Amino acid sequence: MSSTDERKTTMETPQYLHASSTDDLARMITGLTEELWVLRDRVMLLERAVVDAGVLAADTVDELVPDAELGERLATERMRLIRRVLGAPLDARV
Amino acid sequence: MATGLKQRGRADFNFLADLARWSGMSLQGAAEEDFDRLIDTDTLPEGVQSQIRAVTKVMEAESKVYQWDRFYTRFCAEQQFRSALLAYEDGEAEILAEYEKYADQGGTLHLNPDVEAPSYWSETEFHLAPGGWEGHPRMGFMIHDYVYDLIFSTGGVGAVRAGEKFTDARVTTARGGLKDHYDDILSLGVGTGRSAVSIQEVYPDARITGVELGRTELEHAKVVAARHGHEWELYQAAAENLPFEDDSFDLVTAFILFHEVPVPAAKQILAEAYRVCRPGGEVLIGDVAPYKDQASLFRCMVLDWETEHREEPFWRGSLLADRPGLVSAAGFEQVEEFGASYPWVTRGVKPSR
Ligand SMILES: C[S@@+](CC[C@H](N)C(=O)[O-])C[C@H]1O[C@@H](n2cnc3c(N)ncnc32)[C@H](O)[C@@H]1O
Repeated sequence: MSSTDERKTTMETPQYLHASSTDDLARMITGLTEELWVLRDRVMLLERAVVDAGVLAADTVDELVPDAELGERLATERMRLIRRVLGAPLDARV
Repeated sequence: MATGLKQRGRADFNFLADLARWSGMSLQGAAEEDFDRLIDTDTLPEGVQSQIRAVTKVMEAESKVYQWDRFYTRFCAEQQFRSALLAYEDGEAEILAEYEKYADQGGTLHLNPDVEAPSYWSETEFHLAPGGWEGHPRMGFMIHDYVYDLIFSTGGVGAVRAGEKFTDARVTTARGGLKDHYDDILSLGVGTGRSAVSIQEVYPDARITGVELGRTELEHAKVVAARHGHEWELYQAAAENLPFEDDSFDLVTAFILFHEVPVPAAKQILAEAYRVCRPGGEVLIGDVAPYKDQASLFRCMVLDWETEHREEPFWRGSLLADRPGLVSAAGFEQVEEFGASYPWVTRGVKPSR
């Protein structure tokens, strides 16, 4: 909510960013997408190198179904990521 | 694992399901606390619709958790079909092979390419599915095996609270019949056969006929029947214009169909349900409970949001309508309703001659 917003609010969270920061947010997300791509490119190269070295078959990762133990570890990490990144605005609640 | 699913799809659906569940539990829980703090129930206008409008305005302006909960809910709704499309591309060969494998099983498809689909159905992109119910040649597969099974199954979406299961509501509805046995059951808006599976579970000996407008839904319903070893008669037709003789079924069911049709269409559908129902037979409707039967105004507000934000244009009208009144007006007697927020069951009996 910008400072010019006339709606009454009971929220006391201090506001640090100006409305013009929306462009900057878009820059950050685009930059993050770029960085994510670099990472995905690297994972694909890694998979190829591992396959070429005869360590894994080509579709091992695609077809791997996590067992219960790995499934739980993944779920825990996933929830941590969600809470940490997507819950950040809430951690800032007063 | 679901047919054709690869690492990308699995991880992606896991993420969306957890996001919906987390938002539905943690954020909505906190939003309800904000609601209790921010809303003074003594100063609200009369009538549930005006009350919902008033509290929505306050919550949208003043509750940060509510804003984020709505944002994430919308995000998941938009993203689930995009993710399903990508997963479909990855698994297409296996998916098509399964359709091929079951070509001669699961019952009989009666497709009608000339079916007259009402515009409320063909022109709405229900649930934000790109292109609507028929937006992709295998939309039925994507909705059923990926979106329902892998995202909706843990709740937190629409009327299903986080932690609840969609399928439980279907079995509960199916059990709402007055008898222990039916010979011929009609499922209106059978979709991909999810409710038909529950009906068959409760009434294993019944012959099930399904009616549905969407071709891809019906084709997938046949695969679903085959997977369970069932045989269904599946017709592409509008529920308001049924291709059956009078008095053909002893139970006519509709699960979560009525919140997707405008009230005048609901009246036509109920008139047809009455016509094809045998004397002494029943109509059984399972859907989201009307606002008047919801536990709290907060819940009504969250549900009402679906109308404008998850492409459910007939949701509000359906949750404000007098469902038992419509069932009685069609001619059914002994009309009763029971249940919880979801499912809410409405039942009527066609008088014996
Ligand atoms: C929310 S889905 C429910 C499907 C199924 N009963 C279930 O429980 O999964 C509603 C279905 O009704 C179908 N439908 C909507 N209006 C219809 C009409 N007038 N005649 C026939 N089917 C209709 C839609 O295409 C959709 O597949």
